[in-house]
Amino acid sequence: MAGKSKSILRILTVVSIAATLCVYAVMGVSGYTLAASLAESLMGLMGAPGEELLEMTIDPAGGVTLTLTFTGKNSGLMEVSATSNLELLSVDGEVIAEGSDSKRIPPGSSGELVVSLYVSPEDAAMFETSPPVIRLRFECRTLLDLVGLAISLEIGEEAPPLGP
Amino acid sequence: MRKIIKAVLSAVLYIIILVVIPNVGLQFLSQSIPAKMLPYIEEMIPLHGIVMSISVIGVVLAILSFSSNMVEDWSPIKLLSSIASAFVSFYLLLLWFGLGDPSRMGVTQLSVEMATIILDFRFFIILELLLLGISILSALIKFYFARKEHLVSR
Repeated sequence: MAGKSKSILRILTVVSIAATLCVYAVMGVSGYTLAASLAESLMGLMGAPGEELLEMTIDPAGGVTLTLTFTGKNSGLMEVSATSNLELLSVDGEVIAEGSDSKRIPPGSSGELVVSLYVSPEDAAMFETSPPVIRLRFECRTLLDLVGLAISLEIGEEAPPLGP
Repeated sequence: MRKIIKAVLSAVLYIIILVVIPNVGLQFLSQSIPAKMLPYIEEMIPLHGIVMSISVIGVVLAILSFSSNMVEDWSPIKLLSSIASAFVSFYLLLLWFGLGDPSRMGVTQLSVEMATIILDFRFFIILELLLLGISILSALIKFYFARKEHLVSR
């Protein structure tokens, strides 16, 4: 094979191997970061007492403020964008109140996520007869938010199906 | 002789990585996980189906690798098996990220009672598409130069 074509092939082979290795390294590091962060944050969430997680305050007019506080942890190798979303749904799936909080957490550290939502006195009165469904969604994204892992938990009877 | 050894070794490597290791791993997993848990895991991720698909892909890749290594660089068989191998590898990744369903294209949703887990790995699919392009381009250029040299030497 001629010298020029040999060198072109050599360059192409090196580029191909380097690109493949880079892609698999990026996949491995981001996959590990997402899995480790989500698992550790959820373990913290499950381990915390209920009253520390969800705080409920009732104002004189009868309106209810729900505040969810929990710590998102990043035990991975890349920066993570942690988002917590809390929804209060009626039995027929209508969103009554919604709130979310997002934090960028550097590797090896943690960030507190606080989500507050207000329920009007009318809705709060309605919940006494038909209890609401609480939907908590926690999402971790990394690699410039290009890849992500999320978990959605539903607490309450007859949870309506997830939206798109 | 050297060519045959190289072809056999590359095929055996695919068989070990994609057929032997996943099947042994699945056996090990079946024995180490409590029997009660297995139906729940199978409900979320069809482990047996995934391992079976990976094994079939492993055999296909082994055949393609063997045929590719047995022929000369200028042979169209080499070009075709290299391109087919790149596509099969891409399919394997789609299968892997779709947890057994390649049509999910990197977005997988797993539901277990009151929890839903969503995996969004679409960017990895784009990266893998890029690698697929590089592999095909590399095979084409390699074939072009080898063919050119073969024609000149004749």
